[in-house]
Amino acid sequence: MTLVNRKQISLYEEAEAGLNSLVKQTAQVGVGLLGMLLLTGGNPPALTVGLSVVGGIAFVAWSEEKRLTKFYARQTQLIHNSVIATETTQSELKHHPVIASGTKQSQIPNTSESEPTKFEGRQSQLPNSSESESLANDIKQILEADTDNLSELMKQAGLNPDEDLAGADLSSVKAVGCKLSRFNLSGANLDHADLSRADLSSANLSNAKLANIKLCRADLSGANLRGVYLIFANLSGANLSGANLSGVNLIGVNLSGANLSGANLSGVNLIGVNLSGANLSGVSLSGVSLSGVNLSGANLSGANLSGAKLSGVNLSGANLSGANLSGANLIFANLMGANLRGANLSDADLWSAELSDAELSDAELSNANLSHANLTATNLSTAKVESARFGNNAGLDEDAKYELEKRGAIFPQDERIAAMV
Amino acid sequence: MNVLEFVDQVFYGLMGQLGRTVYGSIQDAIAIGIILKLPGLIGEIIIGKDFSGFDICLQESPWGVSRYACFIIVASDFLLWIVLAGRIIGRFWADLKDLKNNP
Repeated sequence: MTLVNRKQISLYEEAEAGLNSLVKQTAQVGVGLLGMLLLTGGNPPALTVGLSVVGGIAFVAWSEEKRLTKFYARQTQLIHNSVIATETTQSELKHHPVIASGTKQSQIPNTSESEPTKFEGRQSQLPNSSESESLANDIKQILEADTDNLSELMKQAGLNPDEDLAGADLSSVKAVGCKLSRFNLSGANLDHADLSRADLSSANLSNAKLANIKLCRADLSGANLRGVYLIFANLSGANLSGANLSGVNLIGVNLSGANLSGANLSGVNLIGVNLSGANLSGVSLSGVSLSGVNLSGANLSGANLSGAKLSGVNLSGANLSGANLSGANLIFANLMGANLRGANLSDADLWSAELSDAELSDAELSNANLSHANLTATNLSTAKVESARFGNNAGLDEDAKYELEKRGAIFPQDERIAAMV
Repeated sequence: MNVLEFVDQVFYGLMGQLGRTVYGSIQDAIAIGIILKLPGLIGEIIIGKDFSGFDICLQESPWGVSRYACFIIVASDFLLWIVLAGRIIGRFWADLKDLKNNP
């Protein structure tokens, strides 16, 4: 098999390529050792053995480094504009197991998409016999290509990743670990595709169909995902820092452990999204409904959640330090063990919220509603509680109530009397 | 998810991007252990002797199989560490180059 860059092939192929090279290197160094033994009559001096070992290690290191960084160089240059010309050639290409590591199910871009692609533009330009002949040669070379690598096959096919995959049908394609950085996949159909660990940094995926796509640990930093259809996708551990997700429908998406710092999430629909352990530091989710979202252990430090609907949301263990939660709806929210140090919770509704073990020091709670909230072991020592409404709180003893009331907190009449006594 | 994917996820969870390098090195160690160390150990058990250096091999009878088995076993031990160390260095070298090119 062809040894391609290890970041572009599947784990199975990587393991297979690694074993092949290991056997090859072992044999090469073994022959060297045998030669050394023969030259020294089977009793090599220590210096010779030492030099052989150092030389052997250097050779294997060089060989391995070369293998890992090597990109497969194409011997033949194909004529760029002679590939996708006629209907027959298109059907041939569709039957070729193009794209990606470890699969034979892939398809070449489908021009039946409603959005016109660059292929269609070319068809009208190239229908003569000489080009058909060269086309036949090209097809032969693609079919005989000894690589499963998407980028290499695209080069073979004379396709331009900057424009030719726009609007393509790539549904169910498997492109694990493929390097698709800066590719233009706008309007492409990638439903049920597996692009785990793929490099899609700065790629254009606007208006692409990504339902049920697997993008685990994929690099989508700086990618344009505006208007994509991303429901029930798996983006666990993906890097979405600086990505544009404005107006995206993320229903049922798994974003656990994903990095969304600096991402544009304006107008995003996050119903049923799993954001546990995700990095959302500094993002703006102002006024967004996060009902049913799992945000346990998420990093929301410095995030803007003003007016956000967070009722019943699981925020246990989340880092909300310095976050703006003013006017947020946190009724029945689970904030157990959450870090709310320095957070702005003014005018927030925390009715029946679970705040046990939460850190609220230096938090701004003026005009907030904390009645029926569980405040067991909650640190409210330096929180600003002026005009904050308390009452029927578990975990607040008389002294604590008295202390809070002195700092401007409001308690119901019956509790206030008890506290004053 | 197959076994390779699962183990890769475990290593990624434990040590991030470095997990891939460690995972590859462990795969190498297992493969090279099976290829080089296991036959040597079996040979030593069959012959009933412990070969630790080339000088010991020369003490064996030149007409006996032990002498040549000794050379193979000792050379295999050297080979194991040469290939393993070389591949680990090569892997880190490639990663450093990649880091330099794509910081």
